[in-house]
Amino acid sequence: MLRRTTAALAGSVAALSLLVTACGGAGPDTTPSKATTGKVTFWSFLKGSDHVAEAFNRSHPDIQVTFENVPSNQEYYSKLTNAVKAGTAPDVAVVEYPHLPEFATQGKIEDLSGTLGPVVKERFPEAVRQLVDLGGRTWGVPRDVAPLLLMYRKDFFTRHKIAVPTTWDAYRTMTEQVRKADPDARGGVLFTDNPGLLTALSWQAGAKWFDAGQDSWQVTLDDGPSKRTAAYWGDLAREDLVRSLSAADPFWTSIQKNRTVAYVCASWCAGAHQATVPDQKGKWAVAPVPTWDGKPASGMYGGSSFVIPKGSGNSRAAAEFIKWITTDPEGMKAWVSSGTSSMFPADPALVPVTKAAFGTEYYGGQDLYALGKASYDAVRPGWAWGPVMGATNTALVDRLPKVAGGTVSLPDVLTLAERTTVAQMKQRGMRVTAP
Amino acid sequence: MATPSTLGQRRTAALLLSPFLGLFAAVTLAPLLYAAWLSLFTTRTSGLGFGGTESVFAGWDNYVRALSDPEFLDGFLVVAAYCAVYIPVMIGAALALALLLDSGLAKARSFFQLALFLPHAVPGLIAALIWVYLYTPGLSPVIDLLASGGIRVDFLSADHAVLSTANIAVWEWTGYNMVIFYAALQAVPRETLDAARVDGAGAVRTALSVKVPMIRPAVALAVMFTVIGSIQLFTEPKVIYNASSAIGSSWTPNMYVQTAAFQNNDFGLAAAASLLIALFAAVLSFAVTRISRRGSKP
Repeated sequence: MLRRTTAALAGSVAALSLLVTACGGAGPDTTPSKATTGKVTFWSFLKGSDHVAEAFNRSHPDIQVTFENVPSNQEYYSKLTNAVKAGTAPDVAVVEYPHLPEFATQGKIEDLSGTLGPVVKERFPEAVRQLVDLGGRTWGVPRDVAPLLLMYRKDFFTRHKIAVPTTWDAYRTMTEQVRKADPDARGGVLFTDNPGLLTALSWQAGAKWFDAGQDSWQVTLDDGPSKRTAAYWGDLAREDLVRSLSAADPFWTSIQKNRTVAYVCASWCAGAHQATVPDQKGKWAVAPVPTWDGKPASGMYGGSSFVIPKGSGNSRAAAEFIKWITTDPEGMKAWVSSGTSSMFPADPALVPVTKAAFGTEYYGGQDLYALGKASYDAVRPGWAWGPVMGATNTALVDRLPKVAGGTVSLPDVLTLAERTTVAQMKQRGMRVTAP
Repeated sequence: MATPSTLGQRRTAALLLSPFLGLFAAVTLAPLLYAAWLSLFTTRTSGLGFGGTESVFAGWDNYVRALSDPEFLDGFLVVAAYCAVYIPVMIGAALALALLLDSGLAKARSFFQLALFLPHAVPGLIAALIWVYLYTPGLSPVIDLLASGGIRVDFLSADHAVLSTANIAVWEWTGYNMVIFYAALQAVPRETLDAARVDGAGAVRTALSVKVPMIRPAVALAVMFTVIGSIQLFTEPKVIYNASSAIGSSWTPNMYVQTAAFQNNDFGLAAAASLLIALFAAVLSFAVTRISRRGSKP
């Protein structure tokens, strides 16, 4: 282990000196030492960010990283956008994959092709690279990926002899069995304020909401696989087989009160779950996400990358910090050292590090990272996020709560959100061609 | 023809007015002008959009877009429905309470005055958060109580959003307006009330036929402020929206502006919509003033 770490460190030092040389190529007067000193401000809402900044400062005496905790959700992205506009942006900021194209097209982040582009190319598989390489340029460096998994109450399933579903047909049967076994319990959720899971499930089904061609976008939120997924979940919600509720407190309350006994989530949920409901230790287990045809397939629900906002005063030190926290084993260890993060590293070589750091007593010693790896490998290629995801998500969220009541059908929600998205893109001057 | 003395007077007037005018220009006129300027531009990119953005002159385009956007216009209908519920209930309650306090019947007058005014001392955001807690299924003792009585109600659904929002506002503002009305009632001349009593009017008759007409200007003023405040409805529904997205991100005109600016980065549209709201508020308050003035003429 030690040797591995040393080798990796040596590797990153070598890569760094290459990087510095590459940067210095533009001007003859640039000295390498100048590139890696100074102060770096760092905005993040991810668990363990404070540990990472501390650990980096300990091992890099020339660079002083100041961590600032920020709220998650849309408010954060507004804050970051405004900070760039006001010239008070940090040097490093977290941006989740869905929001990256919007920041890139708004001209709010630096093009990292020349600095961190080679690192991204070398370390990360295609499934995640396609999320940060946009329009032929690299805009962010991936930290984690969020392949789908199924969380379920082992005790409940055993007691009522319910089989863990591997297909969506079987999943439907499972939700019926759950409700029959306990009228207060449900075997799934349709989040009303977070469209991310619905998106991930469409992705898993083979949907492609956005496609950036040569010089114009194709937008198909209601393509075949998406409609199929939406019709399926819309029916489950309307028939009261899954709960329709907010992803925040009401969801966790329903877990706490044994009213939700299974739900689809991503790799990071295992950590969030055990931190939020510690007293249900030993009752939960994790399974591969069901698929339409029984063959492995997955999508991503979440996942974060790091960017350098426009106006950063110290982008070289920022680049070094980003590289360390995304690809260095020590950096990865610092992320998970707090003990509640079950994030899956985007760099497959770092999986052993996180696996060793995450205790799985809560899940009875299950090998969560093997499940995560299988799901990551099964993520469908070719997915792209859109350039106005803020507007797209709002258009979805504004109608999601009405699905369970039957006021609007879930496939129609997708069609309406597509209309809003295309209008917003055209308003911004982007070229959109009909599929 | 300015004589030296009027010139001096003007100079003094200018000197005394200058702090107000300076602040007025800095914090009211300048932002208005800046918003007007912003409303004439839009941000454009091209192709896939990864080549950067530029600000281009849009003329009236942003205004046309706002006025032809059903989401923006629907916001005004929501506010109208909200006013139809909120204003009669709140003003009526405030007036009734003020008359009760002013009548000889009330005991412990200053205690009730303070108790009724207290909700207004709670900042609007905090009040909204407390109410949302009371509205949230699974957390709210009120909902549990109603459920045990067989009544199932979702305060956060789109169907009940107007009532839920108006309820918060009634709680917050009734005490405040009651204090205003009570102060106005104190200024009603005692001789008039004595005369009414001598003429044989009882307490109720005095209240309705003497006191209420005499404080009509105060009531009209309160209605006007309430109408203007209602057009700017934002905090309460925004907090409700965060708890349950059922009411939508552009439920009121101000929420529409916020969504346009901070969700869609469309500052031109947001500025145009803001100015339209301001214009609407100005026209409406002018109308309310005119109507109440006509009504108060003998």
